[in-house]
Amino acid sequence: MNQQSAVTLILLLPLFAAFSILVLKRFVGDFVCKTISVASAFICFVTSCILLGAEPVTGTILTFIDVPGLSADIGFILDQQSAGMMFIVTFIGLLVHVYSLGYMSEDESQSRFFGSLSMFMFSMTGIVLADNLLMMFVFWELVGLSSYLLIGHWFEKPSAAEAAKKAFLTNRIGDFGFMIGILTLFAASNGEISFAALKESLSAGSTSGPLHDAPAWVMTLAALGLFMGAVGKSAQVPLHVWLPDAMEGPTPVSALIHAATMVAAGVYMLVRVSFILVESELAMQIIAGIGGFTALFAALMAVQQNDIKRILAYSTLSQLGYMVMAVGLGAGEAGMFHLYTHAFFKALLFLGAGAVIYACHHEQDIWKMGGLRKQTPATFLTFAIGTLALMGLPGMSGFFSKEEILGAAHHECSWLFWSSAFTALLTSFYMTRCVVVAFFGKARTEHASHAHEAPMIMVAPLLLLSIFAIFSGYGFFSGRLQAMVPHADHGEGHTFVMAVSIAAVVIGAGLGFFLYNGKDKDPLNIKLFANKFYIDEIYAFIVKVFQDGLAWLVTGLESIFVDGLVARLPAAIACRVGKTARAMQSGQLQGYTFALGLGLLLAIYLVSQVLPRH
Amino acid sequence: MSLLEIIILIPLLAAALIGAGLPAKLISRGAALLNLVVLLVVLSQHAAGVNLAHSVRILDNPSISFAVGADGLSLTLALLTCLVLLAAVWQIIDKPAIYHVASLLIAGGALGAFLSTDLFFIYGFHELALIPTLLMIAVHGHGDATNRRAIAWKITVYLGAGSLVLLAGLAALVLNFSGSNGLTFDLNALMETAKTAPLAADTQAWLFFVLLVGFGTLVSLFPFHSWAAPAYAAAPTPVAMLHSGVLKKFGLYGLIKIALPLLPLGAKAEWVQQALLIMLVGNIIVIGLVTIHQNRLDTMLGNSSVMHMGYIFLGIAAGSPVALNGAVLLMFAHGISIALAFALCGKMRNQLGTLEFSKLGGLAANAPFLTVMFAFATFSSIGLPGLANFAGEVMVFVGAFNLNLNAGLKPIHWATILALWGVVISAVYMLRAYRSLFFGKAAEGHFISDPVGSQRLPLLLLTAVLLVVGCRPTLITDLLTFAAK
Repeated sequence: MNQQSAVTLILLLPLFAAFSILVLKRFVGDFVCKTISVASAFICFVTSCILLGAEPVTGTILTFIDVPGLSADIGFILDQQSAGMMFIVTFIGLLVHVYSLGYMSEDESQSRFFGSLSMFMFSMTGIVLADNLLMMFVFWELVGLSSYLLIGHWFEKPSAAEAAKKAFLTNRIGDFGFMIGILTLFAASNGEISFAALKESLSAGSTSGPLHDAPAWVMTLAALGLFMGAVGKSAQVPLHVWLPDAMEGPTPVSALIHAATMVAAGVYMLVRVSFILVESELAMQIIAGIGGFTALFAALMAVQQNDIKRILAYSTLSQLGYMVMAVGLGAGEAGMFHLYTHAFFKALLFLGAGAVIYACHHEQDIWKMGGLRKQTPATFLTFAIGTLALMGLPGMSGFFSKEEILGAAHHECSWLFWSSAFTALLTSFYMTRCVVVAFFGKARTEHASHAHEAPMIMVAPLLLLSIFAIFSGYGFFSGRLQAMVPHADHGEGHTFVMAVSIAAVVIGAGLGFFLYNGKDKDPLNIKLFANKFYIDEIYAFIVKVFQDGLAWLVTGLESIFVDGLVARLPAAIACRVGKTARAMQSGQLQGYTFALGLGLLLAIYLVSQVLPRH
Repeated sequence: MSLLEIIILIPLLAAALIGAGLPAKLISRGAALLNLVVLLVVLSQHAAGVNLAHSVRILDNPSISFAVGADGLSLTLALLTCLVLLAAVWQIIDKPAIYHVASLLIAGGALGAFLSTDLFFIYGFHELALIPTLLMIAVHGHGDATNRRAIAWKITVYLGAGSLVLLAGLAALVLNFSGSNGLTFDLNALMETAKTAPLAADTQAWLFFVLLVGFGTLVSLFPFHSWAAPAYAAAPTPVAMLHSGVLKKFGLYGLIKIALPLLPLGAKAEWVQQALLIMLVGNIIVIGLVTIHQNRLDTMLGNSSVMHMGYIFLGIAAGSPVALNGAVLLMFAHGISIALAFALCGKMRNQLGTLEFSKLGGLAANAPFLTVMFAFATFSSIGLPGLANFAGEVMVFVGAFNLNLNAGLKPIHWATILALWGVVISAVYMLRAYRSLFFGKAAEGHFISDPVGSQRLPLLLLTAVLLVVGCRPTLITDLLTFAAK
């Protein structure tokens, strides 16, 4: 099997699975649909393992658009970045498929769920393989669709239906910018959309390529436009509001899409186009600033959440902020490294949270749990490993990748470094809070005291992911995924960075433990954090005023002016003329005679004026 | 006799046969199917390079002929017509024969307008298609009799006025471009003259503007649009499908086929450009917001159809090959997706009795098939890749934004940016509608069930076209021949 057909297989097999489930699910049972979906995920995983470490190659699968002035292919680029990402996507995808066999076993619409999962695998694969901007946009949108379908899986639930819509629309706002970015680059580069060609036209060797000649504002517009797409997909401030609500979807979906892979697509895309971003200093500063701010802002909100999935969701926002900041600081490899390690431990945490929720009969409030350490030891063990990796305990995977990012921040910008360090402290604090409240102490509710371990089909993926959460930071592992192996190359600053980061972990965890151990309700009560800085309320207000209010106003004006001036006014004039004309035809002889006389007089007068006088 | 003439005659003949008392359902479905088959033959012949043009002289001076001819543009729209006609007559159940007759007449008129190459017949066939549209709204429309008659009057006056302006513009074209051998209505002859002896730029601009208003009114160009939404809401389902999907495209077809080649400088004149950009942004943003404000499915779809015309006008305004290819692709895609939406809307109205969002909900639980079909219509109309509209929109955007960007943001760039925001707006109203109709708790008192058996076919046909063209837009664009200047 050559690489071209292997890549085509990875891309098209999930599509085939999704489509056949859509068509077949009326006729065959859930079992067949589940088998199709899981089998396709498995084959994709095996194939992407084979491709890992293969020679870089590009190719074309299909011509999508081909008209004079624009040709766009569905192609692929297989290099270290895409092969590594493909491994993550298919590996976690496969585990989530398997886990879902257990988690969704009671669900009434399993076939639809697995069909949507396959659809997601197809779209995500497309983003990873994309060799040009338009193809990336195509799959970017399709990933949004799969996310919409999966968040809204339980569509009868109004909150799920709303969350699905919110996710899609928020992403659409980001895509508005993404499209502007693509169009700008296309215009500035004389019609190039493939990464290779754009890179070529910017490369150091050529000094007169079209992109070199583009004015600075054009490059800034392009860079910021592309970044706006990432802001939507990777849920950065100010478009972060959809991700916490997306937790309305089934938990395996949260793990796969809203933690490990899809939300990381924004970062993946930024790294792909980083050679364009660096052309604009302003854009880089904005990217780093937004990333750093999101990391801190989301961590603050996470401190006061009580829903176990929402804690993890805010933590995801915060970690994505780290990655975006790394890109903005010019350390895209560090961002990708963190993306990889984060994918493992965050998927682990979400699947662990799913096992907890499963164990407590769909209870998600950590204050209604407690003491789960004894009832569900395997879940506790794996969740704890995930927590330690996320906190960045030395030796765990998260430590290495976070270290890289902190190092880059220290190198470039001191206030971003300190805010990132503080974010690290907050991270250890809220994760310790979560673990202590949910797993330690006594069971606070009936459900928690009768909690039972999840079935093996769910626990096995947890165990497997734990191994990766621990070891994926080491060079022998991550080196296979990407060119950059973690290195200690920040000079004398490195020891300092490491000391600060370890101190942050210890202080945060210590504070969390002492503050929450043995408590039955939250000793802290920070309304601002718990209410997420009231951003949702502010946005609801803005939508109400600027969209619905404006729509109301415009509709009113339209019916007054357009309908009034273009239609009613001429109609009224016609009516008036008609009425006058009708009044003349009254049927009364006197009236006619009078008018006849008047007309005769007028005619005589006019004739007398016109005729030449003698 | 050319195959093109046969394509025009089949629906008209079928309408006459039904009028003579033959079984309506059988004849109309048979004719629509036959027409599609013949058209596919025509497409294959066109691909093989066969010249299908044919002409029958009717008058010598002025010279008028019943002339037909096919280029990629006409064939694309003819294909659209045949597909929508098939779906439209197939989904008619338990309705009087007049529904079939009207559908066939509208489609026959549209095919005549798209395939003729003589201005006299292009104009005449379009008028022929309009009459049954207006009558069907007045006689068989939805809502109470006074209301639908008022709406029928409104659309009659609007389209009548638009046609009148158009007539004046076309007459001016004939007078100006007839050449030395007496007046002619032959489009090809007019084009020859336009090439050899073009008009002064100023005259071209004025003439183009007149045609823009005339054709534009027929396409619901802002601010001459307010007939459209109420008309589609009131129209019987097959009429709404055929008019919004097919016949409305006539105005756009005329601009691309007649106005642009005859008056190339007119379209480029700065004041015409700016007027057009303002109007199309009106379509996209103003009507987009109006669409958000609608609280019923039928008026929402009607307004959305007005809004989407803005994108096609943007392609015409940009005028580059990419943009024109995109505009035509979008005409096709919009035709299919709006026909699908109105077909679904009709099914829902029949069963539910109301289309108000606030009274409905949770339809997905009982009607999974309709839910999936509506999802295709929704996501196609908001430009999801993989469905037909996306490629057209992208090509229009690329074509419009690509115009000399380095020199700074010009009005057309701003219009493109606003049009991009329009994509967000259409996602807002379509997803709101989808959510409130299909998701959430089932509303009490309104039941719906999936269509069964062959009633699924018209919906599946349109969906399949959306998917196929969405994945392979080259199937359509390869027919077209907009060359780089």
